[in-house]
Amino acid sequence: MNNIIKNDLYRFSKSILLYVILSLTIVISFSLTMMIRQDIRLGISVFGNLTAFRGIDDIIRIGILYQRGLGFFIAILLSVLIGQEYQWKTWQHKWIANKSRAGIYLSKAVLSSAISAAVFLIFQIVVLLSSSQIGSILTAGYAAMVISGAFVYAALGAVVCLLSMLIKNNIASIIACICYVMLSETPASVIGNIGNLSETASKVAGWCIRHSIYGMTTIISSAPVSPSLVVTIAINALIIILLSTVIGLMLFRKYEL
Amino acid sequence: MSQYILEAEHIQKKYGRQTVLRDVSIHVKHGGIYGLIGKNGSGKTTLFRILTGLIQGYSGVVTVSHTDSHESSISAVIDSPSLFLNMSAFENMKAQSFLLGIRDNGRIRQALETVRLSESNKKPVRCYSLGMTQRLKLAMALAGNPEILILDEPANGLDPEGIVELRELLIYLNRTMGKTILVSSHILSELEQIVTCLGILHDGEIVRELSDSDILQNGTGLEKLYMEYARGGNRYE
Repeated sequence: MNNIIKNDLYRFSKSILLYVILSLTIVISFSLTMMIRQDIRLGISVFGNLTAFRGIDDIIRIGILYQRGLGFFIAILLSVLIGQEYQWKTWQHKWIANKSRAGIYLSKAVLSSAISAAVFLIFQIVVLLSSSQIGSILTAGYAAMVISGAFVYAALGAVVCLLSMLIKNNIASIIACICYVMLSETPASVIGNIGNLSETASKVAGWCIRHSIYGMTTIISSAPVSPSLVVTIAINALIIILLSTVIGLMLFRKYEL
Repeated sequence: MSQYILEAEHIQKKYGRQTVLRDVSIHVKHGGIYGLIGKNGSGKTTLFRILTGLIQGYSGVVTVSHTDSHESSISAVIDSPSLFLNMSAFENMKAQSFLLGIRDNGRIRQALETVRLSESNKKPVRCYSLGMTQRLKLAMALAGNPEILILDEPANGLDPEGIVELRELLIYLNRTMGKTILVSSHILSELEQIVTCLGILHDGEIVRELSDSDILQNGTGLEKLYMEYARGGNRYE
């Protein structure tokens, strides 16, 4: 599998889109931080409270809530990079080189999780370094939040990888991944409403929401993160990565490349 | 050791209710050039994809014999473009070399030289002509030093010069580099000049396999030979 990962890494490194997304991440995180530092308050009425930042903490939270921006970048980046293999029919090189379908899928899953977590970490690092408040920000709670966020974004990458690998049409997979990111609040609301039917339903719904990617980001962004919560979130994220990878492997095996 | 490097016996493939391949058996000799001809939709590409393992869910047996000296038995140029269009020729080859575990850039240069592509060309593949693209695909296929090359209509869309260059390249790969080649083409006059064996695929079946002596003894040419099977001869005679 090392050879497939090297092949994919080399190919990703030649993608202009990767550098565009990374640059946008850096520019946006730096710009927002500078605005806070210069006491510039930018409110765009259409977005309501979304852009009414009060402090650096709000910028940090924006990075954690994937559906507010970073998730959109990750959805586009991963779905395009993976979808190009279908569009350009380059799978055959991997398969004819006697690489297994499992290896082909795992390589994409590993890199997707890594890239997704990396985009989140780059955002947070740029905010931290440009905040001029490193001493006050860099606390155990902040570190716990960032570590939890990295795990959650890794899980997000695995799910986006699953969608991209299984949807052969590049445009359709891009749309599906963007919809997954942008509309993830909707299923949570629906599940929450179902929970109103009974106490049992409420417990089940609450459990599902808390253990979803959306639920975890909401928890991390809304309250201080304790070390035990980091462990819980990490385990939860790893389970989501494992489940999505297993499902993807099982289905991808049957695909004609 | 079998005289055949690649054998497919009783291959059947269906897509839903549609039978694409009914009962296909082919026998490719070591060091030969096996030509496969058939009309559009006869199943040539499907057969090639089965031989390379890109398609599953078929019945029949595919047997490949290879010597340990070769890093990979089979390599193929089947789909199009099957190249990373945003990368140059060298970068595509480099990606392929990672896949094959090849660290020596010299082999990449050698493969590009074999197909007469310049390593220094930095243009992305999407800017290449069809001929250059076909040659790069061949170079990608050669990177792993395979024993068998499977080429699905490699001359499609090429200009006359490109067709001649391709023919010369295939002869070089076969006679100088010792590659066994399985090639399909609609340009029968070109196939006639290079093949040592021939299979005629019609309605999902190999209706005739011809050895080199059969081809030589047949004085009518491939075109007439094929038309006899395809539609019982010339309609206008």
